[in-house]
Amino acid sequence: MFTDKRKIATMLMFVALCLLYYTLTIPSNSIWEDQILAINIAKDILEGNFPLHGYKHSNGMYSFPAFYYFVSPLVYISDEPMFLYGSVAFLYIIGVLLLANYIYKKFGCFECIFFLLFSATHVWSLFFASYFWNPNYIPFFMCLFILSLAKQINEGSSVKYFHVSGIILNIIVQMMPQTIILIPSFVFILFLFKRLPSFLNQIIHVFIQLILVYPWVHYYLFILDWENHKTTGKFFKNFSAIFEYMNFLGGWELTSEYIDYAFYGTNTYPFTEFFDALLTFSSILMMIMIIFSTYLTFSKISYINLFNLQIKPMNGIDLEKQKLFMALSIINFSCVLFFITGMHMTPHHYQFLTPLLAFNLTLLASFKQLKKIITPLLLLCILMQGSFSYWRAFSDYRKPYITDIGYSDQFSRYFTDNCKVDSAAYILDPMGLHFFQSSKSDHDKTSCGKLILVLRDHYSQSEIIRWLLEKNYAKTDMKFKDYLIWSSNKEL
Amino acid sequence: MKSVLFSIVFIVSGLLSVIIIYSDDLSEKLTYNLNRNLNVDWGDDHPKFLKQRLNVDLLDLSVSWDYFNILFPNTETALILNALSNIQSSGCISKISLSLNFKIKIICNEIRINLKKNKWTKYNKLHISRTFFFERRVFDDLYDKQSNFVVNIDTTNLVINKINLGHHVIEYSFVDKENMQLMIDDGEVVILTKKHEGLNIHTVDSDYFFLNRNYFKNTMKREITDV
Repeated sequence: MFTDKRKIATMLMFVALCLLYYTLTIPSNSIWEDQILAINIAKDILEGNFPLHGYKHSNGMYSFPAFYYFVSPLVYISDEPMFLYGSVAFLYIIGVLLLANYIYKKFGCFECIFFLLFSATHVWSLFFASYFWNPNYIPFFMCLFILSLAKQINEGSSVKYFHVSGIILNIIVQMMPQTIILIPSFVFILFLFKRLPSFLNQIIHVFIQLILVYPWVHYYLFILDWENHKTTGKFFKNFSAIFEYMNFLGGWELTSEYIDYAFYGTNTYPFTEFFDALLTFSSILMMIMIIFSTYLTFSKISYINLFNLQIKPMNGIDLEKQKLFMALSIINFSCVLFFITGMHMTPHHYQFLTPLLAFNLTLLASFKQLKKIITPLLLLCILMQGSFSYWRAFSDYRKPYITDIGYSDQFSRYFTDNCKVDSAAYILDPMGLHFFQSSKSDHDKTSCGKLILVLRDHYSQSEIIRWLLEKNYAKTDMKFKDYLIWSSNKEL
Repeated sequence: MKSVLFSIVFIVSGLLSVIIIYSDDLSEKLTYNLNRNLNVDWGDDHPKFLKQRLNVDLLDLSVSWDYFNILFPNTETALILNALSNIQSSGCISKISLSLNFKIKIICNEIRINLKKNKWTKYNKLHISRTFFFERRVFDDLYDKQSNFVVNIDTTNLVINKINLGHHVIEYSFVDKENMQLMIDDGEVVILTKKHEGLNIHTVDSDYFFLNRNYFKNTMKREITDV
């Protein structure tokens, strides 16, 4: 009874932390073309037009359709960005809780607490779960996959779970094709633990896989106009996969305001160097622990012959725990394939590692012989990651952009209330001057002229912004969030 | 372990032998490829390369040429590349040395650069260009792809706008992805920093700034100047 209370308290704490993070960050997210296209495709599905594929990825390849079918019930409930963004966070929390419950039952409170703490603080994991995008549901499915894999390698009847794991993997790959490397590592794990099902079941499963990807394959084989189809290869591009892997571990790219493949990161001015150093250090610590996990795993595999590998038991460690630890390390290790193939990688490609890393490092810290060394290291990482994640969340809340999903309507109301019809609002940031909106009000209000909104941080950071404003505009007393508002009407 | 080491040594020495035996053929092929790539017409808004006797020597790790001219597009826009009309180099040889960074040493008899004049607006210590804007995309390639390079250019005659400035040694390298360091005659250091707002050129005395296209269009009335 007491331990159950501890479990519930830990889980509630995790939920509270996540709620805090997402309440602060979700309204401060932007919406861009990918989200709008995804919502439109989901609406098509609801109207009975069933697409064979989704929008194009950056490499020119059409995305697989599973994601759009998965989100269409959500879009049916509401197509409001806040709701859809919240659904990603909700499923992330549910996935982590399901896995935490399993960890608690199988391994105990210590492992459960560490797993939840890591999941509630890891920089990229929290960030990606705060907005609606194809790969951002992967951590939820990965939690289900790990649960299914754990049952498969540690419980008697494995065929049912083999099919379940395979189907989940298919969904994950459809959401992010790079995760295809999970398939060979999954097969290797089953082979290593002698859990491959009968040949008949393997054949059946191949058919299941083909059925699941058939719409996309059908489109590519019979409909696509190949002559006008241009793609850019992802292989042998560069060897940045290792740096991006470390970036995923530590999250240092999020200390920049403008980042690739997301509308923006974080304006960390004037603490950029401090956070960079903090996150790089945590990334190095995690990398050391992962390398050690990999070494530990492969040192326990004995090669008998090509068709026979055996596992050597670790001293004083439950076999069930050891097998799961090894399986997770092997999946993690499969990332070297990205490096070998020179695949162009960015942090969102590594999202399948989200629950896996937390679980893997938690199990490593729980090994008796290593507990004294690994536990403080892991705690330090959690502390460093958490410090930045929650600082970032608060910063997002305090200093949102007026284009953010939770604030653009607020600003429109503010603008309409204060300025009459011949006023226009512009945003000034380090990239330049951008039109935002004109006033729709027809009340007899003051004309604001050309209003220039600039974030206080941008004003302090950029001499060019100061020059532009001081040369052409006058500062007004108007205020919205952390914006300074300047106007061409110098009498305001 | 021994067998693995032996295999590696065997493969490496095999590769080296092949390179040495076929070095002339490989140099010829590299010369052909380099010339062919430089002859590609990338369109009117890209620089063009005119060259004579451009040769690669693989064993010497060197590239030499009689003359090599870079003709910048003359599109009458305020793009920063139009600040240069052309760069001509003659009687050059470049040597590559491999260390942690690629070091390229280029020794030339003469380098001629035609620069267009620039008009500036002053703000505090900053001189902001009124004539040209900066296109980040153009420089991203330079900063990203050459970040491990140190290029040392030694020319007997540096001629800018027909004025011979005599012997100069100019070395450029990249401090990080945003900052390029230019060292002139082992003395003056100039830092070229890519910013979202444009390009900042920091010298000992003052800072010069080329705005990005957005800022330029929203603030400047273009002023056309001659060489």
